[in-house]
Amino acid sequence: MDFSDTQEEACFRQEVRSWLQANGTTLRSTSPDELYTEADIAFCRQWQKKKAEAGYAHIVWPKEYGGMGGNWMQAAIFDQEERRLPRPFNYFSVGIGQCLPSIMEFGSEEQKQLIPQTLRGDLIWCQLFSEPNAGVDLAAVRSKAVREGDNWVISGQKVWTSGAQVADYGILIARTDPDLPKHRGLTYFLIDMTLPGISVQPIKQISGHSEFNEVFLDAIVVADSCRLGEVNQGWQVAMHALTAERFKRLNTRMPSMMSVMQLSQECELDGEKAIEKDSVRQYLANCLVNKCAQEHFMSRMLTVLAQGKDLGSEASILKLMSCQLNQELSAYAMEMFEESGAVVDAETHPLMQELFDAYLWAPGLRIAGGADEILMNIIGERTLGLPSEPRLDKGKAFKDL
Amino acid sequence: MNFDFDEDQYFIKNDARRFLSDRCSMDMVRTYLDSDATEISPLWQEIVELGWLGVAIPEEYGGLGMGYLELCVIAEELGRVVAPVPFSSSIYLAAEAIVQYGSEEQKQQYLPAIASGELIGTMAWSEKGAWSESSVSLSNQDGSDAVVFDNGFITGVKRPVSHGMLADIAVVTARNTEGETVLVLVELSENTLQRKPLISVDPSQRNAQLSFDRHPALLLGKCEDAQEALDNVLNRAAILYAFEQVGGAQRCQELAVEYVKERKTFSRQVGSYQAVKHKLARMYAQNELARSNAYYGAWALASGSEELPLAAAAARISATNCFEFAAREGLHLHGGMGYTWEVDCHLYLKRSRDLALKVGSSRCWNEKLIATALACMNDTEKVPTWLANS
Ligand SMILES: Cc1cc2nc3c(=O)[nH]c(=O)nc-3n(C[C@H](O)[C@H](O)[C@H](O)COP(=O)(O)OP(=O)(O)OC[C@H]3O[C@@H](n4cnc5c(N)ncnc54)[C@H](O)[C@@H]3O)c2cc1C
Repeated sequence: MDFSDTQEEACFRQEVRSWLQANGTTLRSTSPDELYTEADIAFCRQWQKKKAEAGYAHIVWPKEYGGMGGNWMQAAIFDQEERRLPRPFNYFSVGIGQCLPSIMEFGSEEQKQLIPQTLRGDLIWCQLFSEPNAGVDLAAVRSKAVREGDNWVISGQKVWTSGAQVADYGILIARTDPDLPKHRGLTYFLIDMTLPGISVQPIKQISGHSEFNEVFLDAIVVADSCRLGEVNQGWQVAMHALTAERFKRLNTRMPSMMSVMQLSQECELDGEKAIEKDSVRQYLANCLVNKCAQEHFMSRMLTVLAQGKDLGSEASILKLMSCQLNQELSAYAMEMFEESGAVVDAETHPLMQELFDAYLWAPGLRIAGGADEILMNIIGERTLGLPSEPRLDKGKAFKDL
Repeated sequence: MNFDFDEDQYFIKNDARRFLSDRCSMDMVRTYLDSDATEISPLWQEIVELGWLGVAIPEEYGGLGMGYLELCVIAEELGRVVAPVPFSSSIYLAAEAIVQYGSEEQKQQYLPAIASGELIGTMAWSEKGAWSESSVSLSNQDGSDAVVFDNGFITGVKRPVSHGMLADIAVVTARNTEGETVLVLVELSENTLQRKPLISVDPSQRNAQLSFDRHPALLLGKCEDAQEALDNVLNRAAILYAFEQVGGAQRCQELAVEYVKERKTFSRQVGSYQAVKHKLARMYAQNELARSNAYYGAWALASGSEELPLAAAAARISATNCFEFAAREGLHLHGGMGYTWEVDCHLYLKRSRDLALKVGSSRCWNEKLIATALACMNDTEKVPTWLANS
């Protein structure tokens, strides 16, 4: 048990700090209005490229795939140091966090060539999993892939696809055998988003912005070499991708705990600073405790990885608990302005916009990548070994549901 | 960086678990609740023989000098079986106060005796109506029962004193004749002391009221600022108590999970209902998060980090919350059975409530946490990453 750096880690941290000082001075946070604009993407690609050249785009993966060949503690150190700076939007997190791990695990050498390209910032990815009738019940996807010689012809509709409007590649699951029970008739593909037959329609979100989209697939032709994993084994590959998604550092868009504490020293309530009020102190203390616990839980998971073990389903705790904390804390912080908290401008407070963004982002993150209830089912069934609920679809062919 | 105990520490922990599951049966714990207030559990002597008391006491004072991480894993196992022994009072409180603030002579005299189980120690600070939120206020200045130290003697009443019915020595907080806070060491043997057993939430804690009437007392040696010393001792103890709480909470979770897997209603296992499953998933999540803060505390304790006050408060608050939730909801999921004396749930419920109150309420620790966090924010160098980063 040692929460502080070893000598080597301290050296690495120093290296990272100097590198960030030399290279990170022009960094700025992406505002919601800049999201998915060409200029912002170009800026973020550049940053990603710089990181890749220094090996920081993926600390743990081998150099031959564009990584640094380092360890998980070094990855954590880089993350901690990078997070001290303003944060450009990470257009590469879906790719690096969700798409590449399953390519690394199941991919052919040819498919693995996509890894260094992505790490360099050349490729942006999206996840074409959800459909209008397949969300929580993901295995119910209807998009179908039919074999024709060396190709597959894929038709159907995907929805809620974040980043599809700019993505170069997508990961997709489609039904390849409707006669099998639903989890067993799916196959996983890597899709070039420029293929003819793909059209992307933006969907307006609660923030007014459009980060996610509908994606229509009209008989797109995909080579069999783009299949990842065996035919009808797509579910296993998809689960691998989703597990990675639930642990990666969440793009929470939440101001730091410290900035909320600072806010409470600036806001006045009944003629005194908010932080002087006992009720505020009690509330913020509870948030501090939770934040502290989540960060240290994350650290414990790192130690599991550093020991070369796989993370169990318990890693889902992180998304479950941090989304709720952010939702509550962002709302509470707005309340420190009393009625003025309803006005999102810099005159209320420069942090106000960020708080409101966090407040509007939290409900989405509670649904995406495993809704709260699903995460609790996973913890209950896989970690605690509780029996699953009776289900009506068990063992039945998909076409008979 | 490494955020887990090492192999040797897991060895100690597993050994302790084996021993306690054999020697500390729940029937024994249950029986002990009803026994005479001055009775010591036979488990105590066995624990003494295993050497656990001296795990973190330096070798030169008769301990094993292993360290606090080893003590933390033992604390977790004791909490897991709600062991009815004065371990916490004697080790986390009395021994810690003497190790940290005793004079050389006091250390020589008392620590070997505590480590060998010859003496049981405790700490007495609570007085009727003498708590405040901002810090642990010591004595009730206007109260007629407030403990006063005058020229080698103390007079006044302390209550409740954990394991006060069993203890041989105590570190006592008092005010001197100038009104300043002092910490004194007293032997609990003279006839200038009256002990009274107190009816308590958890009778196994052997809470006592100690009334001193010109009772001999020695200033605790090296302690210059008694308030600071007391805060430090309580911070250190809070981390060790947190391990007991996390251990208890985890056991409550296991008992509940086992029960709902067996029990059926409407021809289905109770654990297959989402309302139940989700409650248990939440319990598990809270327990793991509390464990993460407890580890932070363990590291701060073992390494002497400046973050100790932050880590102690975080560990304490989340451990209290998770144990309460697990004890209450664990009992609930046992239905009517859970409400009986014969089923173990109430042993945990009572211990949870007792530990939640023991070194200060959550309200008081919340306040300490906020005050410490605000203070460290003034110095950017000292802000821990978990607080500074988003
Ligand atoms: C911001 C955002 C970004 C997203 N990005 C992507 C993406 O890039 N790619 C992609 O493929 N998908 C994406 N999604 C889709 C996301 O994965 C789904 O929305 C999610 O799986 C829920 O599916 P659904 O919307 O169909 O809701 P439903 O499946 O209809 O569920 C609705 C609600 O019912 C409850 N519920 C459902 N089933 C159960 C059950 N068995 N037990 C208990 N409660 C239940 C849950 O509360 C759930 O939120 C995104 C979603 C959001 C909000």
